[in-house]
Amino acid sequence: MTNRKLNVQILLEMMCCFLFSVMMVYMVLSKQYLYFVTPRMKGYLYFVAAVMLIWGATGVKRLFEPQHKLRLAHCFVLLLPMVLLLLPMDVMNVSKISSQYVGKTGFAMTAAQPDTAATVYVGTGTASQSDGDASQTLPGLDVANKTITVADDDFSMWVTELYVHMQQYEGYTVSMTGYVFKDPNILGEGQFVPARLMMSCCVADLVPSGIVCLYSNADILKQDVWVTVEGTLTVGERVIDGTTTQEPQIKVTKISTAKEVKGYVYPYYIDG
Amino acid sequence: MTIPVYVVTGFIGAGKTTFLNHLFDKEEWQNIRVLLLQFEEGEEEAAPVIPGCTHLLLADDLQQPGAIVQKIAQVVGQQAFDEIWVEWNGMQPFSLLQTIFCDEALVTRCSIKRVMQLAEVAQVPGLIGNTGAALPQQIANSDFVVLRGSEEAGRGQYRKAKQLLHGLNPGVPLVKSEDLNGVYRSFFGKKVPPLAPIAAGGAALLVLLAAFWLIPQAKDTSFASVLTLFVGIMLQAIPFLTIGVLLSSAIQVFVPARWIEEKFPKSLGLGVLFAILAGFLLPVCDCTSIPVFRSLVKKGVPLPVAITFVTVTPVINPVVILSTYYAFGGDLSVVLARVCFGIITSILICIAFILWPTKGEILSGGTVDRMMCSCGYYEPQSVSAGAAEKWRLFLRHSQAEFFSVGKYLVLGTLLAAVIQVVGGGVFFNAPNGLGLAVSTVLLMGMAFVLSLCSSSDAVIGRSLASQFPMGAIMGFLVFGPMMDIKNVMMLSSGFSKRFILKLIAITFTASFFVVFLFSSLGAI
Repeated sequence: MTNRKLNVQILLEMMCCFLFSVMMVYMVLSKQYLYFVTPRMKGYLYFVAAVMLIWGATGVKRLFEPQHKLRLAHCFVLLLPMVLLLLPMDVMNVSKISSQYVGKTGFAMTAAQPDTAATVYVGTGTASQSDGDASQTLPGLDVANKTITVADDDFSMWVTELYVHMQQYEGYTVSMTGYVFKDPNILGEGQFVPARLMMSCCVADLVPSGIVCLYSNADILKQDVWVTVEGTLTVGERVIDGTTTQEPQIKVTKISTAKEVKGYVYPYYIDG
Repeated sequence: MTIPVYVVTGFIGAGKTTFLNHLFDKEEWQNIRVLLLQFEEGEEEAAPVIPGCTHLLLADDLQQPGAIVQKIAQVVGQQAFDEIWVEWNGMQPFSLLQTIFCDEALVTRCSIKRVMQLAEVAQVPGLIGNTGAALPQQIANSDFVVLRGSEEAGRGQYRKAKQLLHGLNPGVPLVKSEDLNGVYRSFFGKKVPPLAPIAAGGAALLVLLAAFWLIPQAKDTSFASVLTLFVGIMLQAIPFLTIGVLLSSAIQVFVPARWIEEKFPKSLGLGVLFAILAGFLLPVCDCTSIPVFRSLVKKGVPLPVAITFVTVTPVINPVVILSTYYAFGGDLSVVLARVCFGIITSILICIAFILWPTKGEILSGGTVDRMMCSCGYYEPQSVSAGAAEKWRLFLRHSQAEFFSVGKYLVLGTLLAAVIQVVGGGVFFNAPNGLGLAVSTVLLMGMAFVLSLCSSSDAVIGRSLASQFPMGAIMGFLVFGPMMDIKNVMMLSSGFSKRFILKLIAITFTASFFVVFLFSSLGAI
């Protein structure tokens, strides 16, 4: 029948489902989803794309189903996130969130988080490997010259590794890039962290992570400025809640401004 | 030019014929050529006061829609009409009427303009849900509802009727039958085009998009942070909500209520054990367990057992156990405490619901909700349907449920994002060294407003360890996954306000009690 009336609600629902499906695939392929959620979500997003595709397809048969009262507002459930995903991606510029959100709320974890990562590594049972030849294969590690050059992509892995085996790497020259993070509640004078923001689930739970640096001129470093630090790894102590724990620290010998590193780091157990 | 069709629906005895006679009893109708189609033989004879009115009684032809179409087409072909009025049969689904007017022979000549439902306030609760599928479908398709006897019924009954009608047709305008002018306005007033709100919303979104691309400073506002957090939480929640509605719809469509009656553990103790085991095995978060909770209640699983399931699952599922283990540096005592406190708390909640059973209907749609879902399908259909039909039903049902729960997820997420950006500092700037009780309540409140996913809250909980005692952090880790803004909003999609408030209060009390007691005893 040619003059049957098109069901606008079904049409809109179908379009939303199809577009959302395409959007999810695009997000994963372009890696833009990493601005919002962790790599762990990749499979889940593909799954959503598949379900949306099927839901959209089931609408085809119902496209001409008569319906007097149309309901369309619910389509915003998909429309809203879709449109917001089209916002310029550097909206969630790292240092902005760190100063606006994390800074104010005091989500500091320099003492807490690396500790986490440390045990993660032990927990996964790979610690013993790095005592032997395996450590030679770690990216950026030069045993002969006792240097560790932490690439931006290996940030989380190295923070973990340094916490687990701080004794083993004592005296090594380490260089890494992060933004200047200072929190008087946790860090003493002459201390700062070249930090990256770590995401465990989504952007709502970003926390700074990194290795504490000892630098006599730390006071003049501006918060949130991106720097590359180079220095010698030592084992220091920190008192939390009355108990003293050991932590790796870098005695800074060289510091230079760096270009902002886009994107977040993820806990090593998600990353690896 | 098509002839406008005005439809009056309502259950048998609602007084449709009387109402029509009353409506037509005005001077203005004298010059209007009306065709009146009656699909029901009323108690009162339709004696239209309009001289030129043509009257067709079609009640006996309902079994042969083709014959009805022919009869109408014939009359419309012979005579010119200004308006067609329909008194629809109270026992017939509205879709049948739509099929008639969508027939090739009629679709170009006339089109349905307005649909009205007539109901007697005092009878609404008794009729909806007890008289089959036709009435809910009629109500769902109505542009407005005219209520009789609202004065006599009293405020309580009126509120109950309103709640039921809005459950089937959210936001449908209610007009009192005494207000004849209001009825006229509802029939002939301008109708907001259904596309208008979505077009307006879409335009607003495009303006927003343009603003962000054109004005670089826009990115530095708190508003941008809210949007970022919103998208982040949504992107994290949508996959889990999808899994949730698929599971829930599978229960709805493929598991007959009879099966649950026969196979589900009869004793509450076994049922609770079963619920806890399910919590351990399902790697899902709260976005998944809430739709499943609703379908379990609908299928007749005892409420205390279903509540145990929905409160315990987000705390003890494998993903949460793993993330807590990692976040707390492999400290098994924290993991163990979280799991045990979670289980004990949910059992306490279960006991509370056994001791103080909830009075009245807990599903917001009342009895209708038990037999019919938001997508307009009915239980009897899914039981008797063949395999292919069941799959079709499953897909349709899950999609409808995704949208209906999703609406509340969007609202809850927006609220949580705003609070995180605007008000998070209140909690984080709390002075150190508060007492255990105060800091536990504070962190439980914080877990509630932050609405973090239960697989990430351990990391945040750990970062608070330097500021708060471990007992308070346990409050954060146990209460947060069970209850937060996002969960409350999602529960509102299917449960009554009173039930949700009770659940929040009991959950809060139980988790505080468990955490405070065990922490004071030195368990953590």
